[in-house]
Amino acid sequence: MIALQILVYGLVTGANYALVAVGYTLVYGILKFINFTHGDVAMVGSFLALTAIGAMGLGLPAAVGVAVVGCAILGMAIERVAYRPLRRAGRLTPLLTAIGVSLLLENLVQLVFGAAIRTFSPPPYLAGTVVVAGAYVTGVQIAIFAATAVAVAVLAWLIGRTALGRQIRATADNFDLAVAMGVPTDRAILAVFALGSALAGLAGVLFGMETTVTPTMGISLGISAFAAVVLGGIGSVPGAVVGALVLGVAENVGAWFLGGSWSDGIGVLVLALTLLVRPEGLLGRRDPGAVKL
Amino acid sequence: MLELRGVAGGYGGPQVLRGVTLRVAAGEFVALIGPNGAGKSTVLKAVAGVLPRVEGEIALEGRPVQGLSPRALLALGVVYLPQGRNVFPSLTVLEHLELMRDLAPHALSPEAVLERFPALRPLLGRRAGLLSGGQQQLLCLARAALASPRLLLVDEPSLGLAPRVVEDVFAALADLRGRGVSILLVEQNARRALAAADRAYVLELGRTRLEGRGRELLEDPRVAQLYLGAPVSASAP
Amino acid sequence: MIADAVVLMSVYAILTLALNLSLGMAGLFNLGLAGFFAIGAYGTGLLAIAGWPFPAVLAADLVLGAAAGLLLAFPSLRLRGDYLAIVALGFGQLTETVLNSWDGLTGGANGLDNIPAPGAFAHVSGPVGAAVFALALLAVAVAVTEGLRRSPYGQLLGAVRDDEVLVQALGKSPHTAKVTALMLSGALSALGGAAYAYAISYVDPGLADFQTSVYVFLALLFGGMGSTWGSVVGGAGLVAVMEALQLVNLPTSVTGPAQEAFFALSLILLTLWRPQGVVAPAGAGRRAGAALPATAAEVAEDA
Ligand SMILES: Nc1ncnc2c1ncn2[C@@H]1O[C@H](COP(=O)(O)OP(=O)(O)O)[C@@H](O)[C@H]1O
Ligand SMILES: [Mg+2]
Repeated sequence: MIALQILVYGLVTGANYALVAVGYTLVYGILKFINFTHGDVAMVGSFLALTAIGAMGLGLPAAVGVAVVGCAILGMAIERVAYRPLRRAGRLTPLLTAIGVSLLLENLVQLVFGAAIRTFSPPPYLAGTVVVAGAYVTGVQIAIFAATAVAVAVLAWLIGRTALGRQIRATADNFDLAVAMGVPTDRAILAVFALGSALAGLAGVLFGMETTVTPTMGISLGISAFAAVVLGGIGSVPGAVVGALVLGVAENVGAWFLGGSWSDGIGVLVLALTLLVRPEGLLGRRDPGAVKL
Repeated sequence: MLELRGVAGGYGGPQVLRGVTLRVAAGEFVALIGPNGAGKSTVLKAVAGVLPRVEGEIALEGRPVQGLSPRALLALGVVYLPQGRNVFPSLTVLEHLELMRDLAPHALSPEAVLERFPALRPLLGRRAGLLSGGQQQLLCLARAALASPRLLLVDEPSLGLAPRVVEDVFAALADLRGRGVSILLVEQNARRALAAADRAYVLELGRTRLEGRGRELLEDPRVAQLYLGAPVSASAP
Repeated sequence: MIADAVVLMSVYAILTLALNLSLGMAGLFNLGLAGFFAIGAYGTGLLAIAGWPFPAVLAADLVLGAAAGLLLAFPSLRLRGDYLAIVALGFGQLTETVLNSWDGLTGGANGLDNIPAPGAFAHVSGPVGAAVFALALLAVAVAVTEGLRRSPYGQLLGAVRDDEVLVQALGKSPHTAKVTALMLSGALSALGGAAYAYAISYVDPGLADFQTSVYVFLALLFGGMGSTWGSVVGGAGLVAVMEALQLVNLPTSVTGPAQEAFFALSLILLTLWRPQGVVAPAGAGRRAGAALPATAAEVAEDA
């Protein structure tokens, strides 16, 4: 039964990673660039929700709204200020502004909230527990699965079936042609940052309900989510989800055998191993880049 | 419809265009020919708003349009088909048509365009990356037709296609012209272009050097000379 | 106070030189720098506490740093440059995790205390001795990196940075050049760690923090990519600003994050507005407005 319980925890962790991972994969698909600030955007989402619930006394749904909208705006601001001016400056230069933004966000949050570890308590209607085949599943965990499933489905619909989604995929496929054709590429790129960051904000809230949040959690969260992206095949949304679930389980299994303090390292090891053995990932093609659905 | 006067420009290095003067009247089919590297594609880029540096006058129906983005030009009815395979590999045929429908102000319905490009109908759900070169080029023309443009800028649409498909491409261009679309066509395949066009210009080293009716230029010995790289004594029109 | 500052200045100058070797000279975005630094510091601490003589500690430390560089090179160097950046970042995080979690070896979160000073410098009284020692290691680092920069190997690194395909066409292996650059950068960072551990006599897992790496990136950008002299001034200048910020009378819960935020903002603004650096502005190989050179392949892609 312990195996099943670990599986539940692993899938919950994985669902959370999936929400963050999708943002990496979308941005990579369109700009061929790793958005290093992404984990910290999720961290800001946690603290926005913390403020909404704690200081403003809002309920969980409203807090989710605050985090999602706040992070979408933050993601767009980062693109506009830190990345867009450097779009023709090669791939590495924007990494400099990215690590600057990461450290800035961490410390601004720390100035406002202090460095202490925080948690927020779930609302009463999520406080229950059900037993599935001998494993305990909490209301919060069910909410995490449901929210992740709905969010990924909505994203898949947006990207796969709407005018905005076509413009995003066209821009990701061939940027110069999209420009020449009159596709509003700047808007498509902003939309990708908004979508990815909104999901990261949601992840931040869910994360906060299941575990603890600190201003420095963004980096390890970001590395794990990126490891999930590479494991699944970068540029692929289903790949990101599959990679996240696999990694979530792997981390929890590893933590069970080695102790919880080692679980951060497992993401790094999975990333390194994937790059060594199968750099295109589980579901990726040899030529990573296009956004696939 | 379109008028270029003394247009110069390039990519930031040395000037590629050094004096391009040409006109496309409303409903006219004009070809721009010239040896490889003359700057033909660059002329189209200058008009289409994707060339980094442009000087001189570019007017659309008397209105200056230099510096406008491709998006703004599309709103004015200008559609540009760059050189090469201009499809998005992971979008389906239908999605290409829908993409243009959402962007162009006077777009036709995909259904209306498919009547004119029946060969695309069985391919609607296929990703463009999986189409043959000829099918991709037809898709590009269908996408352009869907925008119901006033002016079509098209760069080497026959490049690398089998002769039979080249005929399909020119038939599609003739059809567009028949519907009142003004066309500025750039071609390496001078013979085919001159046969199809009402009028043509010859570009050499970034300057328009000769102008004439398509058939006349076809027989002009100076055109052959230009293609062989010999200098031309006649001055530009 | 001044002597302490000199120690930190020397350490950061060495780290900036190490980053200059990988990023400035070879174009490798070594975001795991703090990890190498911490590995060097802990290696020094453990061996010195175990009673190894100074030359043996130093030699072992350099080997350790180079080995860590080799380890990082394995999964990442055959892929695109930004993959190295994130794997290196993960490597730094992993280092911190190991240092925190492997209590038996590293002392866990408490770190290692009372690291004995190297014999030759022990007779110079306390802080002054430490400062002289750190400066001596800095002098070694300067001599080594400047020598490398002027050597054919340094030119090879520049060529790898700017046009890998060309290097291949000339029959040289860009991969070997990159692996060795990362190993050398790792060894130099470990040298910085040795300077720190001996001079401060205390190490903790926080040395491997992401923030340390970001500081060194800022120092290098300020100094100017590729310049030895700029790296030294950049690293030392960074510490001077840190020390000056200490003089502002505010609680540490504010000054800590405020200082980090200030440096983070400086890095962003420099990259956007003064990408060529301040002390020894970089010129060659860079496109207008870019802090780092784009590879020839990227330039071709954009055209
Ligand atoms: N993207 C570019 N950047 C710099 N120079 C270019 C670019 N494209 C074309 N050129 C140069 O401009 C000149 C004209 O090119 P082009 O307009 O493509 O010629 P054509 O279409 O007549 O064959 C050539 O010398 C070419 O090298
Ligand atoms: Mg051409």
